[in-house]
Amino acid sequence: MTPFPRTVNETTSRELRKTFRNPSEIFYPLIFFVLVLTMFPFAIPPVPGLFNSIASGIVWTAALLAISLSLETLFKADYGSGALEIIHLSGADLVLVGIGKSLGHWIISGLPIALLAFPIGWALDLNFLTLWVLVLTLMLGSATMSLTGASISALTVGLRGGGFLLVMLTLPFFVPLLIFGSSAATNASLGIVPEAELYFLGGMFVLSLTVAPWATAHAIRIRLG
Amino acid sequence: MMTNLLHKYASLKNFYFLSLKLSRWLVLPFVFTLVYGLIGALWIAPQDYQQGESFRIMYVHVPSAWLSMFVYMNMFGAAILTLIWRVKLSEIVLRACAPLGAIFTFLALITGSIWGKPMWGTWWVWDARLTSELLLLFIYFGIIALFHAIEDRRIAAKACALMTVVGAVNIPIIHYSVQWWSTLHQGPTVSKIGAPSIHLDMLIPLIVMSVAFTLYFIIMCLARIRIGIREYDKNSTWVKNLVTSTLQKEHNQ
Amino acid sequence: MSKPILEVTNISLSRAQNLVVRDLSLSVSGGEILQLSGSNGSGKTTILRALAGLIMPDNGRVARLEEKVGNITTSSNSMVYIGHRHGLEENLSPLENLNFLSQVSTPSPVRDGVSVLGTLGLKTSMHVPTARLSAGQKQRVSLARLLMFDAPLWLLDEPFTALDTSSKKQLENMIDAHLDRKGAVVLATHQKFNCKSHVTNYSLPLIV
Repeated sequence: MTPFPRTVNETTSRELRKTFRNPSEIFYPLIFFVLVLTMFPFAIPPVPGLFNSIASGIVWTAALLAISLSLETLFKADYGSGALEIIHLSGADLVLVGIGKSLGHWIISGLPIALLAFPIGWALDLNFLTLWVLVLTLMLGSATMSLTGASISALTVGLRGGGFLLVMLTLPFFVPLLIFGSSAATNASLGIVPEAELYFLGGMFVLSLTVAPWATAHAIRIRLG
Repeated sequence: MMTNLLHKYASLKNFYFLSLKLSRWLVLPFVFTLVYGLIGALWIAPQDYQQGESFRIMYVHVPSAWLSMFVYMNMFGAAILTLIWRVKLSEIVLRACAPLGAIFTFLALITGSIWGKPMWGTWWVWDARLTSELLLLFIYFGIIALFHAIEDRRIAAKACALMTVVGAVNIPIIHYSVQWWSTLHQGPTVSKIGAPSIHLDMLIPLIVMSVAFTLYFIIMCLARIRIGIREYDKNSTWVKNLVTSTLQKEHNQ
Repeated sequence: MSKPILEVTNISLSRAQNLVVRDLSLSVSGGEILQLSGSNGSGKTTILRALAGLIMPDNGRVARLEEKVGNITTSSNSMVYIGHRHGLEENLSPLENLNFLSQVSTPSPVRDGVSVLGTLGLKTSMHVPTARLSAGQKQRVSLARLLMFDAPLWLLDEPFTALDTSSKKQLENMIDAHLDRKGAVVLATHQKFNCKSHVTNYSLPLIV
């Protein structure tokens, strides 16, 4: 069916099933994404063309914030209900559980936001190349965020200061994604194909795919005592 | 066998008294290097032909920046020991280093800003090195906040150790990304007097100040480590004896 | 003399820097049941969690089936731990919860979710989202793991909570059957319960 190990499949299905039974959760990150975007025209001076020239950067920033905040819920329910503990004690491979959780999270938040960037970018008058680059970089970048963010989410689950602590810890690590993601889109809007940036984002994704699930597993073990 | 050796030398009690001796021995070298470095920085080093006297802040900025990285490397070493071999002393070292690292980073930012003011006319520019230091400061803040957020001291240390390792992987990436980004902006940079051959009179005080700062860090860190050891072993006889004898000494004075 | 299924040697436990128990030693062999009794906060849960390997003791050794409890993954087939929280995902049905566990656990369970839920009297509610179950039903789903996995050691923390009389009787029977099969049980409860075998009692707190 899918090429992934069984634990990954089962964990991802569980995440998706759980979320689709409570669909409002899917919309929160999306709404927050658009809400943050909407703040900027109010905030920046009304120089004609200014907003559209920095649109890619703003879209990327709004996406970054929305995804970072949505990371909080990744392990919250399972930690609070004791499910995480039971999964750990049952001998499940936590690395695979981490991958499954990250994949589920990406499907629920990163992917929809990346796809939503297409009509939004169109409305903001971005050219075709820019739109594709924006969507692609967001997909790649948000996947990296789901992977790396999962490890920090597992580490900070249930702590007081919760979401804010999580965002404070993750944003510095997401800066490179923001730099290369928005730079790629900006270059695309100038008609340049952003090869370097895309290679970098791809590299970061592969790095997080190999390292982050291990860190997530460790984080779970540490927090379970 | 490695684990046994490690546990013997990392015995909290042994380290405590060893560090007391070490701290006493280091005070004099610290004072000496600090004075020597300051004299060199403020008097002996010749005026920079471009920046005049204001460049002298470099003698605080560069050592601070270097130390902000050095402390993190120490934390990384302690983090590895904590995660793999669960050494209690390394947990204490990790906790001791974090605020010190944050202070040095903050100092580097402040002095970097002061250094740049005469040149750029503003207190802050989004220069590659300053921006990297700023992000490093946030990383330190995050680790310190994580320590305070978890009640159980040992779990907190393990969590922060993992955070430190994750940070260590990301910091080079952040550093080079920010550098790449700053080349797009062609802004002014706070650079060391980066001429290929730097005048010896300028270089020596810089090295001496760096040593002085490092000694200061070691002395302060050891003091914090001793506090941590007393907390970890607070139920043991030797700590209780230590506390009562110190209280008695104070009482008699 | 059979090898003890659980052997605890001189453990001291603290929770958030407070000493809970000092120099505790005990052993449980096949067919034996041990009860930890005492009021709330006396340390029953902390001790059980240490026996399960969730907490590392400050010193001393917890060994299950002669295998030191250091790495939970390797010793997960030697015990089932039923804690305070049932760990059920509210939006999923009991069957979905148990099926997930079956798929990810190592080693695999010996009985499947459908038959186990049937045995526990949850045949009609096995497809209902767990949020809609009563506390007693949720507790029974939690206990399902005892039947799903074939583990010699059962660590039970207040398992009779929220159970009605018939469910309580069923659990008592399950414990008896487990002991007959030469399994071992460590049970933390302040409630009275019936057991065919002799119950060794440890009254907590063990330190003043």
